[in-house]
Formats: sequence, C-alpha cells, structure tokens
Amino acid sequence: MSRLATIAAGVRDGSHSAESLIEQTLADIAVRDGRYGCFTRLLSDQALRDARLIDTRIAGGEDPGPLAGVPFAVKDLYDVAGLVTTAGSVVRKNEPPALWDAEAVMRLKAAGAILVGTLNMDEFAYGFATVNAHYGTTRNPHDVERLAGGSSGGSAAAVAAGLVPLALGSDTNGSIRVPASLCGVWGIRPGDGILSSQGAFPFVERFDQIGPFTRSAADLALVHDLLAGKAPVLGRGAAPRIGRLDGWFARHAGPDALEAVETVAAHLGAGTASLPSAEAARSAAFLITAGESGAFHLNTLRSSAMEYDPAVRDRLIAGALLPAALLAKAQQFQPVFRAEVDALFEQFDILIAPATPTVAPRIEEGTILMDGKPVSARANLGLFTQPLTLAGIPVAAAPVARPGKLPIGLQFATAPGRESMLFELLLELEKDGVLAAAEVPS
Amino acid sequence: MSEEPDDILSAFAASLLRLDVPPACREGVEANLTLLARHARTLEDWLKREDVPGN
Repeated sequence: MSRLATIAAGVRDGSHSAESLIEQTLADIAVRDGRYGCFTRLLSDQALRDARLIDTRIAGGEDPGPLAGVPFAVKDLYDVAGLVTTAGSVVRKNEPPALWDAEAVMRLKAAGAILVGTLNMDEFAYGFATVNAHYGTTRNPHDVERLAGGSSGGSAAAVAAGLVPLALGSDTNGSIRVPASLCGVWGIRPGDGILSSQGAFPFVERFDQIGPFTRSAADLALVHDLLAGKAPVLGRGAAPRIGRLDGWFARHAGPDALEAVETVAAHLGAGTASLPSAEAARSAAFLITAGESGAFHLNTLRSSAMEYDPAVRDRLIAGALLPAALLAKAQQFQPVFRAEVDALFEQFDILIAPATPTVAPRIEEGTILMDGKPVSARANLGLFTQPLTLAGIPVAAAPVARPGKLPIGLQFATAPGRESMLFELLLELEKDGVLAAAEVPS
Repeated sequence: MSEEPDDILSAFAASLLRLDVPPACREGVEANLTLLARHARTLEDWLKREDVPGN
C-alpha cells in the first residue's frame, strides 16, 4: 500500500491529528536538516494553520482528500502564495511575492496535503549538483560528504532523509532523475504535456517538466495521477517488452551503474535496444539548454550579472553567445531524434538505462570520470538523462535495491500514453525486491 | 554558416569579442564556450554521417 495513503488514512480515521503530524515534521526538520541543507524556507505557521483546518474538516465529517495531512515540500522554483519565487537565486530577491500557489501545489493541497517548506536547488535549475552560492550545498543523506545531485537536490535529499514523504521538483535535463538516483528515492519526469508547469519558474520551457519524489512506486503513481487529474491505474495489462539501452548508455556507465542495470535487465529478461543518435541527442539538448536559457536571462545578465552564482552566470553568458545557426541546428535535430525513439517503441514498451553514470561523487572533488578523464559533475551527471529529455517521453527514476551500498537508480522510459504499463512494472519490481528506496544509515 | 568544427570555434570567439563580457567572468565563459563548441562538433559530426536520415 502507498505510504502516503497510509499516512492519510491515519489522519482520516483519527489515529493521529494532522496538527500533531505537522508539529512532528517541523520539529524533525529543525533538528536534522542542519546536517543536509535541504530546506531554504520553513512555512511553520501556515502549515500548522492548514493542519488545524484539515482536522476541523474531518471532525465535521468531511473527507479532505487522499493526501489528508500528508506533509510535502517544493523546490524553490514553485510559486507559493505570499513568497518570492527565488528559483534558487538572490537575483530575484526584489521580485513581488507570488499571488497564487503553482498549479501543482494547489492540486496537492486540494488533495489534503500540507506544504511545510521550500527546498534548495542549483541556481535557476542550471546544474546537476545542488551546489548553490547563495543557499549552500545540499548534502547526500547517505553520505554527507557527497553530492545530492541536482538541480532538485533539496527535494530528493529531503525525501531520502525522511524529512518529508513527498516533495516536488522539476526536470529539464535530468534534474529529477539525477538526484533521485544519487539519493536512492523514486522520481518521475512526466511526458510532455501531462502535468501543468503553471507557476513553476522556467529554465528551458521546451524541456521543463515538473514531477514528484517519493519513497515508493505506489506513491509515485498516486501523486503522478493526482497531479495529472486522472483516475489511478487499475488492472494489469500485457507483459511489457523491455529493452536495455546499449551504446552511449553502456559506454560511459561506471561499475555501480553497470551492475545495477545488469541486475534489473537479467530479472526482466530484457533485450538489447539501440539509440544510435543518443550522443548527438545529448549534445543537442546541451546546446538548446545553453542557448535558450542564455537568451531568457540575457536582459537580467546585462544589469545584474555579478549577482548570479558565478558557475551559473558563466554558463548562461556562454549560452547567450551561442551562434543562432548552431542553436537552430540543435533544435532541428529534436524531431529527428524523436522519430528514432518512436521507432524503437515499435519494438519495446519500456527502455531501461542507468540514471547516472556513477554513485554520488564526493563534494570536494566535484567531478566524475568520462573516458577516463575527470569532468565537472555539475555539467555532466546528466549524460544519460539528457538524450531522453530530447524525446519528450515519460521517464521514471527508480532506486535499485543494493543494501549497504551507496544508492544508484535506473531510468525506465516509455512511450507517451503507456504510463500505466510503466507504473505496473515498477510496482512489480518493487514487490520483487529488485527496486527499493535506499535506507539512510542511522 | 560553414559546418566545419574550426569555423564553429571561430564563430564562438567572434561572439565573445562582440559582447561586453565582464572581465571577472571571461575565464569561466571561455571554458563554457569551449564545452559548447565540443557539443556543437559532436552534433555536426553526427549529422554528416551518411547513414543519418535526410543526408
């Protein structure tokens, strides 16, 4: 059963009040988050007011919804009524506060969930590290000397550490899938157009998707479907045809990633699937991200360049300088790659690949090995997620069960419209013990 | 524009000279431009392959 549904059932049947649950959550965050650096703002007063309202509604015989009393938190780029949407930057500190909650926040609140705070991220979501010059580095709960991944690192780490059972992040090039992998939790980048990004500060609009982090597959499916506004998945379909992506996705995988994908592929009897253009797709996604985000920030850079996080600023300026013809070429490649992926989904229902090439790198090193050479983790941890971004398809990141070892996750990608089949498979693999959220050592 | 990698790099360099990049950012920007040029070259090389649809 869904952990979130269990929490909500306890609130609805009076086993515990929403107020006591939120008090406990806030106290836990106050004591433990100093070690991780997940939260940027706690919304204690508002959360307690919302909790009392849930309790009052239950006392009056109302059903507050399937997430009654469930605490959640959001990446710092979601609009929250009354707060400035920082997007992880002090550049936006003088912007007016948001008038309304982002649509995803509204939907979770409408289901009874209670927002307790906002979470750290790479500035303007440009990075795979959650190393933020303004708000600090979010540390991996499995080893605080290691990166949580990014850009939704605060969201992934908060769920991994058990500070909240549910968090929202966003994924442009892998910003949900990368930190989910390194922190050992579940996440999903929904397919294009499935979830509303209204009220989420943009990074690269053609790629931006919002999505949840949870500690179980059932929770992931529940929240995805709640946010999508559709009925939960029911029943079993035909056995899916599984393909393990080779080529680019195998060549750059480190030993932990290879072991993880081999374990799952063997369990599923997966065939071999090829996307010959994967490397070019990654480069196209890299160029589009640079060019379009650089153009988006150009006016602000002209007036306030030195207020940006230096690492992000230099990437944005370089992107703004990208010759238009090169950007156009990368943009024109997107439908070519989509056609290649569509063709592969004629042979396979679900594709699997590592979500990251390695387990969480050490913070002080800040690098990963690629072709035997150290390269920036901030820019390259998404080398397996970026190609699939270009395809616009739903991709879940799932933690592979490996007790006693640092977590690593796999991507499970499917064609748009086959999300039910994807969730059925994830639930089955979790039930079989092949996939499981990693337990943080006490 | 030409599709040759050297010309791509030249285009980047020319862009950098045209823009008023703050001196404190120049080193970081140049490093990122080099990275972008590498990705541009990867994409160009792929698109030039004879087995790519449309070529």
